Amino acid sequence: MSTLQITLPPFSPDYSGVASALFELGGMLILHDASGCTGNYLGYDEPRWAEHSTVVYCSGLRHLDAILGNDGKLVDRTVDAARKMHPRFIAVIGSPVPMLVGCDYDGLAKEIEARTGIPTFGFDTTGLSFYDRGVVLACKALVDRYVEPAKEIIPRSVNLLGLTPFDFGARGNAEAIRAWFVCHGWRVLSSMSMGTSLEEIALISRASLNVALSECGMEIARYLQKTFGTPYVAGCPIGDGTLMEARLEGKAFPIPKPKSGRKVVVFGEQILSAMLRDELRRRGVEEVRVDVLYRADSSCMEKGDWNTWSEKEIRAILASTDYTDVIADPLFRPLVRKEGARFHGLPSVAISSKVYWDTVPSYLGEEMETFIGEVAG
Amino acid sequence: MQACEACFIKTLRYESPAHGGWGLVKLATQLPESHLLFFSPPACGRHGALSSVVSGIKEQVSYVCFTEKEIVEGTYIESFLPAVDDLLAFLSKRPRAILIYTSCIDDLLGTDRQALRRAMEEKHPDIKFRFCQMDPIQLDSSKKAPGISLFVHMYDLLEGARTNPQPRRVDLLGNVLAMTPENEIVEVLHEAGVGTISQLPEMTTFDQFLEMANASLALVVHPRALEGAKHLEAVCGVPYLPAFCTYDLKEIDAFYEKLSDRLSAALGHKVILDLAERRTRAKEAWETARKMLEGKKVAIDFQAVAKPYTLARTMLQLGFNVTLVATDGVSDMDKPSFEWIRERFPHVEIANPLDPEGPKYRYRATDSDDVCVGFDVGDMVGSGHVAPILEDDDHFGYQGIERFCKKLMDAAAIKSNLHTMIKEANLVV
Repeated sequence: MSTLQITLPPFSPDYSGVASALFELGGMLILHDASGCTGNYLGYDEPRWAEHSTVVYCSGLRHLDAILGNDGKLVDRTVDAARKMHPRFIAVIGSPVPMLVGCDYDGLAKEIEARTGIPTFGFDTTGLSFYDRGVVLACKALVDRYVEPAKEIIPRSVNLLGLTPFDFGARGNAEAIRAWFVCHGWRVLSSMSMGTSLEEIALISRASLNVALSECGMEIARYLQKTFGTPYVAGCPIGDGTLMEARLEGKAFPIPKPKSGRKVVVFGEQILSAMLRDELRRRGVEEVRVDVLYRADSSCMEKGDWNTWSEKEIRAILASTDYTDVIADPLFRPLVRKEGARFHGLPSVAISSKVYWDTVPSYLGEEMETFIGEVAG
Repeated sequence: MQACEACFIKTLRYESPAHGGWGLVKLATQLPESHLLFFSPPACGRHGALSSVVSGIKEQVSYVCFTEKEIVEGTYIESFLPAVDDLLAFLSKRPRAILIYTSCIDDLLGTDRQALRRAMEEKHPDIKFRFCQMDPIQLDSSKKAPGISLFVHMYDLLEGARTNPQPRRVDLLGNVLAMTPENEIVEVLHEAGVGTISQLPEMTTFDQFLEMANASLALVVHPRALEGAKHLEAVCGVPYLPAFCTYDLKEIDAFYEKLSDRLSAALGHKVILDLAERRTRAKEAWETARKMLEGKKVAIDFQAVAKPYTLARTMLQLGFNVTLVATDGVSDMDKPSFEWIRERFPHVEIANPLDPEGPKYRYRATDSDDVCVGFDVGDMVGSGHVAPILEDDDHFGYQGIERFCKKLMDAAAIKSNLHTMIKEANLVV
């Protein structure tokens, strides 16, 4: 059912997810649209854009081309650009209009690859789903193309999955998380999709463990488990990292009795929200409920959680739920009208984009410890 | 990149971080006491929503996000009327007009907009509804591009509003920035006897907007509003005169001659415009700027000014060292200047900022001291000496030259952080 969003902006779409997952890998990314979708991704969903010379194009789709199914134009233009730019791969990424006219992305990809000799992917993204779907599509495609079954497993090695600016920003969290694993004796084979390379991705099947840092990471991890048998753990090191240490060692972390009467509602991506919940419980917070804004994995949901991005339903949650604190992207602030309730802004690029992407906090260390401490009261 | 017509061949488009303009939402929300309600896939609404947050106008813009199922089944139509009802129930003040926006896919879905509009107006007779399109899929159309059709739909709201024709009222059409009382066009019009100047950026009430229908003349300050001006004439009988920004003294002279004639006709008495002093100051401004920029290269792009080749020609004739003009094509009104430059100054590089080879030429070093008119060329040449002009800003007439020259000289003197400038400009593609 369609959703009226009066205060909140629409969240990052699936085509941005694909583009973001492929951004650092030396490919040529083509958003198949008129210009708005490309502008949306580059201007509002890619905090790394200003500093990189990544090759991202708009196909310049026009009215008659869509109606007449003039895909040949796109193929010719892509081949021409590829011969000038020599990318490592090519990705044609869909948007709403090509969805409507039934664009055959697989067919386009095959034709472009046949003519250029360059590995080419086609993604049937539509602008009607969110970034998590796109990240998963892109990562699965990379695995299918570049990863062979491992002949041997590298001990104490790990792949970090679901690492994107949408959930972690582009101000150092990716590097810090990678370094945290190294500091804890892990060899990081790849970190999809920030700070990695096609060469690292090719090693994915040799890992002894996969870590799903976000919900889209979970879906990729399950795919890798099914394909290569690699086990996985879902979680992300935040604050002092103690909970994640325990999780990696397969230990349960004792949760103390609640000592604070605080009741917290968290709106966000599933894994980070779940980690925040555990951290707050560790500090004696009585009740923490989560509304997962994107796709939700049932294994991480608890009784009382929700799964909705509809502004109307979010308002209803905030009107009907007993809470003292809300953790959410700063753009949610106007929705929190309960007198006395405290709002704790935690920027998410997938929601507030450039409005707050310069203030995404460090997830590891004192900044996050302070944030959690303030919520716990 | 080398000068060649091949750079305008339609191909894949490279949109650098410096690319973009005011954006449709900023233009449309100028309509006072209005609300924009977008009906589209969620993705289509994102950049407009966020740019409106940055611009502080988000409370005027809302979105209805369709699902794939609704689009495929055609049931998306059923969401229009309930969404309007829900929006109106939420808003603390009822708008006077709601612009219903659809995106590219609606050009292919064949939504019966007229029927929906009738239904909305029947249910809410106190509100005017108009269907508008945010459909860059029509960008190559001179009449249907979204930034052009907006003004047609907006001035269509004025049908039936011409109830009190006022000879001493003049409309300004198409400007994003307000022409303040110190602006030449405002001073000249007042000196000529015009009492009231209507311009959207200054309006706060819908009634003020309706008064535009009673003007005796409409000056089209930016080409984007030309089709709208024609429509305004058709529905309200307000004659129009193109008054596009130019930095060429002779073109300005010619415009003021026409303006004098048209004002004479509108006001009912001979209007003589005394512009000699302003013209002299403009000439002096050019000379001061030329001296200061002696030896420096100058680059101009098409996002900064509506007629980049005419500006380049003017500057070359005055002795500036223009070395690069970056556009994604050549407009009809700029074509004579484009041909003139190709013939007389073939060394001037003509480049397309959207060229697919753009990433190769995008410099990271910012040690170039080229003076750039516009963000795109600043990004292309890697210079922090950028005059942050967007769509001619509020430049007009001889004073426009003075303002332009001041920005040029400031850019030459001061090296800025281009990325910060681009971020602060809040460009929207």
